[in-house]
Amino acid sequence: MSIRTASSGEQTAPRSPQQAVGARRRRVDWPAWRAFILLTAPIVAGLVIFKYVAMGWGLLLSFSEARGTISLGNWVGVDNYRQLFNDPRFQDALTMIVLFTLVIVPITFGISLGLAVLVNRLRRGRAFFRTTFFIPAAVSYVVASLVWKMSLFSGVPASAANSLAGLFGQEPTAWIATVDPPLYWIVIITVRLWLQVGLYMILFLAAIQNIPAELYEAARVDGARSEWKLFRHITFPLLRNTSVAVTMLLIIAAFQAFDEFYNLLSTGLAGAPGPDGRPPLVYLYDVAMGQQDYGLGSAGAFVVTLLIVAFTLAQSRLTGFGKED
Amino acid sequence: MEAPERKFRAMTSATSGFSRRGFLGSSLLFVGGVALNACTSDPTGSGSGSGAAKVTLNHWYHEYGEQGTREAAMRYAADYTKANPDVAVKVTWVPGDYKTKWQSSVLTPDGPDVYEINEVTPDMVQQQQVTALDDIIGSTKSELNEHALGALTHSGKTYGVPMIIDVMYLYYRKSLLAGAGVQPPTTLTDLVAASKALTKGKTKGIFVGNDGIAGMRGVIAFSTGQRYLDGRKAVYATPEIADALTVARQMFTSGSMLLNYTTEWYQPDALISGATAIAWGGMWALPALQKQIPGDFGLLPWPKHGAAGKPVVILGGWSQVVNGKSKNVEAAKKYVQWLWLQNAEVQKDWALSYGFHVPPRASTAASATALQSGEAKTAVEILNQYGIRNTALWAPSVQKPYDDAVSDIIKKNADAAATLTKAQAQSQQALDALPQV
Repeated sequence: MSIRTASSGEQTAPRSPQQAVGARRRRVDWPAWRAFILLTAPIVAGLVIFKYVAMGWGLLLSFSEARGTISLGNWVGVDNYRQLFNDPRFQDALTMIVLFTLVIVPITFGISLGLAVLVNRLRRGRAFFRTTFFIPAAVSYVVASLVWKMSLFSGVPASAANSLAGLFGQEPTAWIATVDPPLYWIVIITVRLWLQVGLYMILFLAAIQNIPAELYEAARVDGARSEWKLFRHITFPLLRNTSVAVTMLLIIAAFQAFDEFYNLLSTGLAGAPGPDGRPPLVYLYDVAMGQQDYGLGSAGAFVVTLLIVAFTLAQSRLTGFGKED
Repeated sequence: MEAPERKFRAMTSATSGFSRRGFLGSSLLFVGGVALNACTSDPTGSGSGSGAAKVTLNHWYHEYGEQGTREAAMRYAADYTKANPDVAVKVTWVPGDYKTKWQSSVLTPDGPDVYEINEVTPDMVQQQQVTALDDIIGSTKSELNEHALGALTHSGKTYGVPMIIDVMYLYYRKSLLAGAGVQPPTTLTDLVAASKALTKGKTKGIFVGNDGIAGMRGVIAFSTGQRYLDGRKAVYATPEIADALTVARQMFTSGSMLLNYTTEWYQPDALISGATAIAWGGMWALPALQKQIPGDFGLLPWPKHGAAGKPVVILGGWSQVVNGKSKNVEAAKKYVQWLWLQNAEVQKDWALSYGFHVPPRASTAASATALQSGEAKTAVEILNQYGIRNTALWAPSVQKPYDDAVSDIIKKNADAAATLTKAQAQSQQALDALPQV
């Protein structure tokens, strides 16, 4: 991903066709080619075998009845897809994930950008705060979920959330088990924010530091006195490419949500999470791994992939991602 | 209810080997997983190697939490090779998410020859992930627990040999009940009232799982004297079951349930710490309770509801199956027969020397001294009197709509009858989709 801003002006001019042809005629660098092939072959082979063959096989599986087997042959056309779209539980899961995306993406975006601006303005201790905010990004979702589940938002009166609520005279609450009103969303949203904000803050920070100081000086000379005006008219517009890329990454990450839902909401051996807070991937994991219906599971995986592609395309169309300024 | 025997690995299931990225990145990791499995199918393998053996059997166990189980499994394997020098047994101790691992492994030709499961679904039979074992079970069948066999039987054919039975019921703290002047409840209505009366300060009345549902949903139909399935028909949408769920819901809504505790229902911690006065739990917790709160706990079946109601004790447990795609089906069958049918000492040792379970064979269970006194005796008595379990057709896909319905009824105050009716139709659809085997 590029975190270069529009203003960086580092693009190299493309070479003219004549120049390129001349360079190619000059000499074929066989040793370099050999090294290139030698070094990339394992990765390419791995990618083909473990990703593309698997994906292709999955696509074929999604058109077969494959219960308890991954052999092809029992073709059923689009039956799996039809069954999925007629399944109210899958529909609920899709609705849920779209809602989740609409909530989590703007919040994460806003907080990351805000933190980046604040950290950038620090005179001293910038490295300290940058590191502090970034550290959670290195924590695994599973570990964070367990911390949230067992200590911060546990239902016992001594948990962090309940102690805090107790100060305001609130009764201890079962945060995760309460679905009506959906208090479990607080748990889900906060854990993801804690894990993600640091990373995106770093991306914004890098982009902010790339903005030439002269622009701010010029703006001040032109009468832009308040910090807000500077942010509104200089910083934010110049962060456009980064903003668009961050939004895209956030959308993809939101649609792929699995770990924290699975770990926070499933109750040990009683199985996968219940109907509330069951995103598509958790639902499909249960279909494929719990019920051994690999055909249906594959179909679902492709539906989710298509959804991600559609959202990403729509977003880049709306924001004009990749266009030259 | 899903198999409670995975209690020991459940804590670690959260950290088990999949990641969201892995799942979506390749969209379908099944093929990759299978390929990977073929490369690393034996991370912890070890066994009774014998260079001269003509046949090597791969035997998979999930990771039992009890000390000494792994050594015992290897000892049995070594003993078998000593008696049958032609056959070597390679024991693989599978940590983490065992179900996912055996499921992906049996999709390949290199799956284990012998492995353990909780129930046999029709798909497993259809895909030859298991093979009928009636010839080795033979006349022993009448001695094996019928409910344990029920989860392994399709069309009269039995596809597994039960290894251990786990019993699940309610535990209660005698001192807390006495303190509140509450008698051990015998009806669901009593249980609701008792939970409310017992909720005081930091103690809640009842704990059935952190989601407020886990231990309860599997007993409700049986406690009204009814069933979830009648053959290949889903029959749980009845006024009696709807009523039982509506009554049980009061425990959730009145705040007398312990929810989101730091450990799950299959661990006795909530009871020991006094966070709850009554808790759904398993027989495996007996040793810990006897050590921590001796004399201060009792056990009782889940109480009945309604005129035709019956108290309920649920059976779970692990069973041994032979992979139908194994190259050595006959050798594997003989090994299973020797280990889990002929060898009473092994069965007793496996059930009682490390953890606390009931041997599935009546004569073996009857001769186990550990089960003849105190609370263990009560547990076996209520098991024999009220023990029940769903049949092998209660497959995950059939169960799912019911589980979701119960969640909606208990947690979101949904209309019980209407919700169950809708779910029953979905369960029936899933049942119809199961292969006829």
